[in-house]
Amino acid sequence: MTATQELSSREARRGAWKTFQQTLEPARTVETWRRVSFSAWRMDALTDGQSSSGFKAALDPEAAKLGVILSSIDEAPARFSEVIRAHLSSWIASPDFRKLEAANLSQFRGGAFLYIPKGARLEKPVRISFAHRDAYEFPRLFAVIEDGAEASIVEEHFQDGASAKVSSVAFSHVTLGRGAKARWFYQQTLPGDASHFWHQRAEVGQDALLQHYSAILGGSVHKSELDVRLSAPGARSELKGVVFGEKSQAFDPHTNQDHRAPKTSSDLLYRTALKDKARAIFTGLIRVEKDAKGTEAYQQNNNVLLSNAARADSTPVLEILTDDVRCKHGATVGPLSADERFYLESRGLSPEEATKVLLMGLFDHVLGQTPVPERVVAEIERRLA
Amino acid sequence: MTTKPLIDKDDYQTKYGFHDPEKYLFKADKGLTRDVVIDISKRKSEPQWMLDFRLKAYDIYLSKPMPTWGNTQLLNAINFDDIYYYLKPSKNTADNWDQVPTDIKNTFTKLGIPQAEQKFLAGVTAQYDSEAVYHQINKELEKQGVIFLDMDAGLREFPDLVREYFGTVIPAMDNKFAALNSAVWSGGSFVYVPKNAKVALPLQAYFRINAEKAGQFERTLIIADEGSSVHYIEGCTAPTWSADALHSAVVELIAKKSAHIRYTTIQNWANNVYNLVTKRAVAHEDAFVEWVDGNLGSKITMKFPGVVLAGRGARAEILSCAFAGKGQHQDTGAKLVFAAPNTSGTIVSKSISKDGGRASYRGLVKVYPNATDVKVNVRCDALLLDEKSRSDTYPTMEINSERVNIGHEASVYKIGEEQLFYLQSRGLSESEATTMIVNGFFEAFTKELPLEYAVELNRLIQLEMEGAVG
Repeated sequence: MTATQELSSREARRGAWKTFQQTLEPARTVETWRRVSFSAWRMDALTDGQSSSGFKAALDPEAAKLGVILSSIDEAPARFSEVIRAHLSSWIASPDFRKLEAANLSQFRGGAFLYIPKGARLEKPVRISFAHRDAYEFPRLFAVIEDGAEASIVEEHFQDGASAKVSSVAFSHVTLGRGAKARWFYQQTLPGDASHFWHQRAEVGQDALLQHYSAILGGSVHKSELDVRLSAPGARSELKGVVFGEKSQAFDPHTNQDHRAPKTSSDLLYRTALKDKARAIFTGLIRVEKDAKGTEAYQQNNNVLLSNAARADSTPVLEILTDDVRCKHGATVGPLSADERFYLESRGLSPEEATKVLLMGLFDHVLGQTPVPERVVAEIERRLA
Repeated sequence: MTTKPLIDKDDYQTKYGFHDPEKYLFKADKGLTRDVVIDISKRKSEPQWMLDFRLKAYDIYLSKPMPTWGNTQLLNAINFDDIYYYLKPSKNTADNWDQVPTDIKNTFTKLGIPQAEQKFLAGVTAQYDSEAVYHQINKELEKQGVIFLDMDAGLREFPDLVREYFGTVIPAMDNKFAALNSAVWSGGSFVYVPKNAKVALPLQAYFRINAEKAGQFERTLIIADEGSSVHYIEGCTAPTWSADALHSAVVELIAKKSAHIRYTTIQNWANNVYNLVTKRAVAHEDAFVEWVDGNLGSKITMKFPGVVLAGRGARAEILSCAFAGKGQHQDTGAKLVFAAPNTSGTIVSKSISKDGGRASYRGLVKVYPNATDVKVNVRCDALLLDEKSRSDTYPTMEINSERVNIGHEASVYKIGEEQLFYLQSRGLSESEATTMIVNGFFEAFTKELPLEYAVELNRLIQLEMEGAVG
């Protein structure tokens, strides 16, 4: 790490810690925090310089040969000083999350930095694992995918071994250059007592494509925001997600399809299944700015309630500031289809088996095209058993 | 391309932007104090319980914060100290058209009340500012035992009935504006339909704001007893004024077992009116409630008619249309709250934004745990007529029951080039073609209206569309 890098990083941390201390925690009257209160992330015992376990990753030698860099943010080569300084010196999330962002920015240890150079095409996915261990965890990931590059990235959050209750606040930031193609897998399989906050900003460049897959399964409270900015003409995003809750888990995923340039397009499909007393609150925004003429944006959220005590809230939002658009959204809440269930049971499946088959089908439609890692499969199967 | 406007702008001024010279019997001081509330109640010779109700509401109004959602910028611009909270236009409520003062009568003539009455009016309560000046009830209705009075008369003549239901659907605690209305309400309609009575013709009331800075806080309460049915229609046109006016009504509907209420509103407020209205219905067992709600004009309208489905088998339909023109924000929508099994509801919303106007659909579908076998369908369509305008959709679904079937769909688009081309190739000008498409877009709404309302709405849309293209 160069002296200037160290200095700017230290300055950023110091400023962020000040902001953390000065920012009040959001009240329940703030819409973003109305249904899931801030208390799970109160961090009363947090002191400056708290430890956090960092990340684990092993870069494929083939990728390294193509010039791909995977390091901690602190140890990024000197030529990235400017982009890293820019990354560390501006707030990425909305002011509603300022306190959490300040906590992360001041406390993250190392942080992951991924660089995929111009035109590099990676055969194997890059796996970045955040193994949570400490009472407070502050994962941070910054990825730069240059023009024409193609890659699959897995961002994993899970607990490493048996440890006390973990409260985590993760920030992830990715930029896609012109014509770049990225498949991003976000997987959260934390234990049932963890509280997890995750924020990701993706900036999608001209004619670039982001295919994003989320598997949200763990934690007693999960809150996230996926903020995708389509900031140049021809940018496209496809966001897919699965939420499968049990017991008294609560999930509060937000998504943002932010169209800021002409001829951008986006699609979203999030599917939720809830057992027991689990609860999910999906909020998805499609925003089309004045300049984003010729936008096409779609959004679909389906919720399956498997128990009478489960609860699903869905708020798909449209904000359209220009006229040359095609935007549609839809949301459904209900049990599994009685007709489909009847069909399966008439073929000799037990009610339990029919449920399992139907849910597998539901999720397969979302994640079927992706290499779903074992941890996710195991969690889904455990819930289906 | 230049197209001659269908109707001249000046004509619009004379047609809808008229106002009569102010002539009030009594005008309370500007601003709201405890004394103003007491004064209003005294002047109306109200029973003590109503004064207590008003004072309690006044305290709630003071303690409630302004909404932190919606168009807070416009809401916070309201100067509550610069508003008259009570105006009494003429000596008494008239029950004979001849007794109505001439200038007030002129206003209504311009609005077309006598014609409407000649056609098929069942009864009229025309609200001129804060009090009803004219009401007449069809003899047939009286025979059926139907009560159709302005709210003040209702309170005087049927105090027990009013006391039993007043504020039960929308308590003063509901929100700041409901509290404000509860403190200073004046006028509005009181309707009671007895058991099994079927009111064949719609009951109509016209509302108007006239005085500059006139606050309009009407209060409507409709009770449809078991097995009865009624259709109530309310229309609003207000004159254009430069100072901002505040309209904050409360409308409560109670549909008892197997009753049917249809409530139709078309509002066309002047472009400086803040229209902040709380409307809610309770549908008991097997009851059916319909809101048909059309919103034009005003600076900002915030109106989300709601139905609480409280009894098994209750049903609700909400049909809403909004037209947001220059400088306007139509923040409208619907709420369905399911609190009983085997209930169902549909919401259809249509909105148009033009000349930088903003139309927002804001809705709620809430299903409580005991409400099983619930079916809900929500459909929102928005049409954007130019690139300066804005359309939003904010639906919220809170589902806490397993055996439900909830669907929501929304789409936003502009008028298709092909549609315009097709109509123009048949000889229509671009503006005629656009108006035709807009009328077609609203048809799901207009076809639910009585004929002359549909005609009037089409005419208003035509006026709003004037010079839309070219």
